[in-house]
Parts: sequence; structure tokens; C-alpha cells
Amino acid sequence: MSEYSDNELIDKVIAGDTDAFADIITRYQNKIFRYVYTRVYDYDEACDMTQDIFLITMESLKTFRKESQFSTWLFSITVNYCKNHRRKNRYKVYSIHSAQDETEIQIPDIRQNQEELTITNESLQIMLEEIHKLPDDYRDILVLRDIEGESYTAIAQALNLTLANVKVRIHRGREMLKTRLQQRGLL
Amino acid sequence: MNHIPVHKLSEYIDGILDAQEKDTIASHIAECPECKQNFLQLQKMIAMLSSLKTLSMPATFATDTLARAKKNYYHKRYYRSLRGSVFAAAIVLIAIITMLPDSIKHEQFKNHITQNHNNTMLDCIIPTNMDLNTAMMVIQQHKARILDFSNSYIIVESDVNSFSSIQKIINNYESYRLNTLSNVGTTYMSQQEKMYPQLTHANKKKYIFRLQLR
Repeated sequence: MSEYSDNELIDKVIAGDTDAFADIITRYQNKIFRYVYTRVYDYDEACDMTQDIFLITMESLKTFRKESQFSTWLFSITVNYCKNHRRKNRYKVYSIHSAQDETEIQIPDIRQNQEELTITNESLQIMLEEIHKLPDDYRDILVLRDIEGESYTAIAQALNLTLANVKVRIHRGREMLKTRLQQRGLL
Repeated sequence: MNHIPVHKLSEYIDGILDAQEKDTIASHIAECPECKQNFLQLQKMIAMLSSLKTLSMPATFATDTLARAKKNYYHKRYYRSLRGSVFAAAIVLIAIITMLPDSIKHEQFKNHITQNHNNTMLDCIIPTNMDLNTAMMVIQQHKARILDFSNSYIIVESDVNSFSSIQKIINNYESYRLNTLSNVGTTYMSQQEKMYPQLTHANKKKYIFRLQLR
């Protein structure tokens, strides 16, 4: 990965070195993808949406005023894109089963034996399914906090919330997810 | 002993409590099996969530996306470069249309017919006692083309078959009317002499005639 900072890479892209954008993509692709994937729960669609988000970002780079971190700006583009996408596709029905069958997600190999790997994959699929079903407010915040490991302050900035609000949503989201996972027999 | 609420356990796991609260919760968890179970479940759930960080995209994603971005960029640049040529072509087209001979401009042609009282463009004038709506209906039934109309006339273009057919209908209508009105002694529009053209099918000729309404 490139040693340049985000802002340096952006300057290079604006100056005409479009290849520098590949470093920006590599740096953030998985983070954006995970956020999108937990929303749509469809691997192919999440890949397409992530690509669209980077294309939009590249076209809008000149409008980035560097008043906030690039990651925050990129995340706000992602959130808006996902909201618009859902509005446009509100009548589309996602098939959870087909999504599970077709998804080729890479799950960490923490097995001691083959049986343990099966349980892990199943558990994580249930986990993904339940995250997907959470209300947007709780899902977004759990993805940022517990999957991406962002700090409370960074989350507040990214989602334009107060710290107190972030705390409340994290706790409520966790409680809701915990209850649902207990009902699914995962905890 | 009061149990620790889940939100406190959540804050405890995130390490955002002060030292005193941390100690209180740690000692409570050690003694209370219910809170300990809650704590362990929450911890397990967060650990499972963090393991989803390994969800990733295909290795070629960055290069594919960049290729698509470049393609979009060059497409846009190409269309932007065409913008000037399209504008110039539009100007030339407008100029050509403006300079077209008057004879092929429909509006001017129409004006010529309606304003020229000598009616040199017309093949004939057919006076009739029909009202405007009836006459329009007859014309539409014969798929003739209305070039212009007012309350007192309709200028029609038609092929030879429609022309002769319209002519027959009008004649029948006038005869019927003449018979009916003469019985009650009412005056009616004087029958003008109708100068019908010699009909021909040659060259699919179109006839332009004026129905002079009552």
C-alpha cells in the first residue's frame, strides 16, 4: 500500500494522476464494502454498489475541501448512496437464502478441526443475517464500532451525532442484537 | 444485590468507565453468576462481530474500478469535445431551414391558400349547407387532409377517390335538403354553379378544394 497520506493521494488524482486513485480504493474498499454488505446482504450487489461509490467519489474529488478527514467524507458519500439506493429499490425483494448460497465471503480460519469451522461459518452467517435485519441506526453504529473498531468520537463525526447519542445507540443496538442472537441459539 | 444493566456492561467492555466504576463492575461480575453470564455473552457477541472485519472484496477490485473510472472519464471528455461540433451543426441546420424556399413551408403554403381569394391553388369550391361539424365528420370519414378551416369554410386535400366520394355525399345532402325545405316553403342557400374538375388517377394527383359552408 502507498505511503502517501489521503490528502496527498487526492492532490495527485486531481493533478491528473488517476492511477493514484487505486491506492485510495485499496485503502478503503473493504471498509466500504462491509458497510454496504451488511445493508443489502447480497455479495454481488454490494460489490457493484461499492464500485459505484468509488466512481462517484472520484468524480467529486475536486469538491472535497479537506475540512474533515477523507474517510469521514467518503463515509458520508456511502451513507447517502445507500439511502438513495434503497429508495430506488424499495420494492425489490432480497432473497436471504440465495444470498447465503452465492456469497463467497472470507471468514477467518480459527478452526481447531473441521467441525469447529462449520460452526463458525454458520454462526457468522446468522450473525450477518441478524445485523442486516437491525434498524439502520443501530446497524450503522455497530458496524462502525464493533466491526471496524472506530472510536466513539470518530463515529459521532461520521454519522453527525452527539457522543451521548452514539453511546445510547451502541448500547441499544448491542442489546437488540444480543436478544436476537439468543433467540437464534447463538449465545 | 442489584444486577448491572447491560449498557453499563457494554461501556465496561469498551473501557470508557472511570476506574472506580470499573472496579465495582469487576468485583460484581466475579460474585454474580447472572451478570457474569451477561458479560460473557456480550463479550462473545462483540468478538464475533469483530471477526467479520475479514469480510473482503475480490483482489482485482481496485484495478477493475480504476479501469471503469478511466473509461467513464474518457467517455465524458469525448462527449465534451463533441459539444462544440453539435452546437455548430445545430446552427447550420437552423440556417438551412430558415433559407428553405417558401413553397415547401407548410405555414406559408397554408396562408397562400387561405389569403388568396382568387383561389388559384384550389381545384374547385363546393358550396354546401352543411354545418362545420357535419362537414368535418364527412372529411374525416374519407381520410382526407384538412389544410385549414374556419366557421365558413374548410380547405381539404384528398385523393381522387375521397374527392369524388365527398362530392357525392354533399350532392345527396343538398338534394335531400332541397326537397325537404321546398315542401315548407323556406328559403335556402342558392345553389351555386359547381365547377368540378376533370377527375384523373394519373400520378396519384391530390385535389385541393374548399367547402364553402352556410
